[in-house]
Amino acid sequence: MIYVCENNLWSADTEAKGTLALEDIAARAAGYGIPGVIVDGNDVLAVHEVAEAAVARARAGEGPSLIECKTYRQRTHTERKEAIDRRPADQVEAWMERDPIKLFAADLIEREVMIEEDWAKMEGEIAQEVLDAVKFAEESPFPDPEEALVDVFAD
Amino acid sequence: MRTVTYSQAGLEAVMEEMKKDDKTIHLSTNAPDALTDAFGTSRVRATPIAEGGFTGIGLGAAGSGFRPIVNWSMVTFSFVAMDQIVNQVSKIHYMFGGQAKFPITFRTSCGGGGRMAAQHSQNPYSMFMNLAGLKMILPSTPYDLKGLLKSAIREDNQVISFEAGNMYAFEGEIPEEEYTLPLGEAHIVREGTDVTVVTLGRMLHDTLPAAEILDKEGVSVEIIDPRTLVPMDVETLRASVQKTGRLVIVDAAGATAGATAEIATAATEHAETFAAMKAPVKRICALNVPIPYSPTLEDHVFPDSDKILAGIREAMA
Repeated sequence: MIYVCENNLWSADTEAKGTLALEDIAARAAGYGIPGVIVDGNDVLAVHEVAEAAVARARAGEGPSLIECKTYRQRTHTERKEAIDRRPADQVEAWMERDPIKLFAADLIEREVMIEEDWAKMEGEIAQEVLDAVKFAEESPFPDPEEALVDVFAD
Repeated sequence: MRTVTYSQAGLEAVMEEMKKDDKTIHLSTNAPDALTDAFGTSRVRATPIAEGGFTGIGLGAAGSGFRPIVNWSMVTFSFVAMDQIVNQVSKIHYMFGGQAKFPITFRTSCGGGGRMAAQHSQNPYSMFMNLAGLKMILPSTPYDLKGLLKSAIREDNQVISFEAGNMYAFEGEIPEEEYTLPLGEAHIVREGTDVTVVTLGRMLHDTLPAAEILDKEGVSVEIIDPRTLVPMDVETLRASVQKTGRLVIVDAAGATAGATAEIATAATEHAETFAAMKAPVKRICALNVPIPYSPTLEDHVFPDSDKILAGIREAMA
């Protein structure tokens, strides 16, 4: 078993550090006698590295691990248009600068795994795929009201 | 009188009662600014997301001289604290042989209409009614919320306030001066002679237009809002049904083992009321399914004015 805590530092409207005595969730692993590892959750390769070690440990029958990925919630809790964002703007901005996809792209380009044009092309294709999915959803008819009764139980 | 929202009415009740008694404290995952500003962080605690923890802390504080208000925010989250609620909160006064009092109020939003899908759209009050030892209010207007919540906070018992989540922006009038509404007294919202319609929570507002339409057709509808589910004011209900001879119950929860079943039985198991009845009880409830997310499906599941109108007509036939 590998426990992954995607610690985005906030509950809906309250900063975790205001309600938790511990700064690191990973520290709680000690109480269960298992390793607790902290990793930069916005660094794709760093997450991969600690995950690989935890998977190897699990497969070797050495027991569970806890991985705490320090990250950030990029949007409001509810995703609702009218939601009030109570997080400090400079905090949000600083974390948006550290967007994991943006960081990974820069890393891949720097290591010459990819060139910028290919990355941009891939991003464009993915964006188009998402837009097509939104268009499909918006153009689809609403379900027949009677469908509300389906799936309460397996037939 | 002045106009306030349902949300503001609830906040005012809490503010006034906290001002009155410095043993009144507030626990919730997100501390409301208005309360923190007025009473400070020692009386207004922002808790970790651990409902089992802060429900138990609140109950312990209630038994130690405090008068806590615990806000679960949504009834969805109360389920995380079910062990505390079922095994501790509801039974603790009884298991102490009445030697300790636990004056605690739980606030929670419930119900649908907000397009928030199955987990965040439930009306599970009948689950809690089935536990002996919990009082509960179901306010349908800002006026009722403020008056009932103030009484709930002053109660030396464990009370849950089930508040309609999609009504927090709903406006209504409240008096300038302080007032409270007693627990256990139903409100006859509209007097009538042909049919008694009991509405639970926000269903009142879907029933009023139906009553106006029927009035024009010569059908006189009496609307009763029980206001509190426990204790239930069965006397007002029975007297009304004895007068009209017909009982319709409207609830935005499923019918199965619902509050509506309890209300129907309160009428039919009473000999004089039963003898006065001219038609079977008619329940207009949500369908017994998890509340769906899609607007067309959610609207199909909940009662609305048209369904209520049709249901009352059926009872009159």
